[in-house]
Amino acid sequence: MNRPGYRLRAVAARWCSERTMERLVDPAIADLQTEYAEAARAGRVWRSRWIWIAGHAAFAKAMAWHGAERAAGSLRDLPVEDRRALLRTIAIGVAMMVAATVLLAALPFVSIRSGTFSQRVWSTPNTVLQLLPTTIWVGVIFGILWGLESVSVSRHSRRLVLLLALALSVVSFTLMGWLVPAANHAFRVSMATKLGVEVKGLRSASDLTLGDLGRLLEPGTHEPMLLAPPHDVRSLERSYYTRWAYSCAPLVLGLFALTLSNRSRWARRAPGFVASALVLGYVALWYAAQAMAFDRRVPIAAAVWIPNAVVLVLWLMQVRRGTGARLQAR
Amino acid sequence: MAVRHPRPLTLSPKELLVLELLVRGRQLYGLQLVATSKGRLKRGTVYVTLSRMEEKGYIVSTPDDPPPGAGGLPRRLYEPTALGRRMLRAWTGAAKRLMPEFAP
Repeated sequence: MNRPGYRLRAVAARWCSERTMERLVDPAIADLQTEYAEAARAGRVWRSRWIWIAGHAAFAKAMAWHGAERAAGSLRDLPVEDRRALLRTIAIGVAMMVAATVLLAALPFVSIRSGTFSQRVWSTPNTVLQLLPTTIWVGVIFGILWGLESVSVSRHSRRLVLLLALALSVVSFTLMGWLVPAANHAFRVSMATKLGVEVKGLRSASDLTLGDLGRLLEPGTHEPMLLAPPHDVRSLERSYYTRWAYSCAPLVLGLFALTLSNRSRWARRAPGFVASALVLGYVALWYAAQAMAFDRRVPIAAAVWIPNAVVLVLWLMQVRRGTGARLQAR
Repeated sequence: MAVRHPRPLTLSPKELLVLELLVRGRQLYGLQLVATSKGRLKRGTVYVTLSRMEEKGYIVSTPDDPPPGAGGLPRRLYEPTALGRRMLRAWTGAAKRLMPEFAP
């Protein structure tokens, strides 16, 4: 008889410690196998299938709970000052993210020229969703520089902050890749319906998911897609590669901000000023890169990575400066 | 350097239920605890609870030899430790003293 659970066990063995395997994974799988075998021996096919499904779902839940408990435990084990610094970092990061979103979303209301007020109000949820990939990395920079201002946190805490920045990059990627395009298209359809205009599945680059864009850019014939004019291959390429590069911003900027907060005197004395300079600098780099791509001086696929590359070079310079200073001190 | 205090011994409602079921005299498998609890323990979280209780020292588990020709991974049987029994007695005793009107 083919017993279920061995594949699950093999996957779990790659990630889990021996203790977790012994105390959590093996008992769960052993019980699943016994129950499944009893149902199969009794000839209860549907019962055995139900046990297979329920057992796998229970296993996934157990692993998720265990992961969450381990994460909470590692926070609990941190020194009090580190825990306070981390909570402050998260609180300031979220506050700055909200403030930046509100500020940028409110800007269209300030303009009294184009669009009616009611149209602007209706587009606000869509606008907020579009702004999140930008305001996330703004929050990361301010959160780290202000939250860890003049506090020397442990390496473990810094790793946790970096992990959080990585998670936010993944969130940003999901937003830009799928959620924002879906929201854009839904907004386009709803506005068209309101104005009595036929849309017929018409899409622009901003309505296309990452998968759609990738398929369109692949060489060869494709299923025709109704694209709203004006569109060309370059705008599709820019949209596609930008989403990849821009979603790495929280991680790259978080890494640089962490190093600055640890090593830079300026970051410790004037974190707000340094954070603002970093935000403006990144935006300027971004515009410069887009201009270079527009002028065809640099291929689009490379141009969109220039801001992140510059930040990483600056990070490396900070790290080497710190290492050099430590070696000299010895 | 920050002073780290030892974590105090705690007993969550689920851990209390597990100890009550185990102290009734016999060793049980994880799924038997779920069945005996009449839905109060869930299949997905019972193993996490049992693993946590083993770390705290409230219960101990031993691998059970499967019947000959059965195959599969060996199941684990759980039973309370002396610390687990004392924790249960202390918890239920304190509950009776604090709230005698709700004592079983």
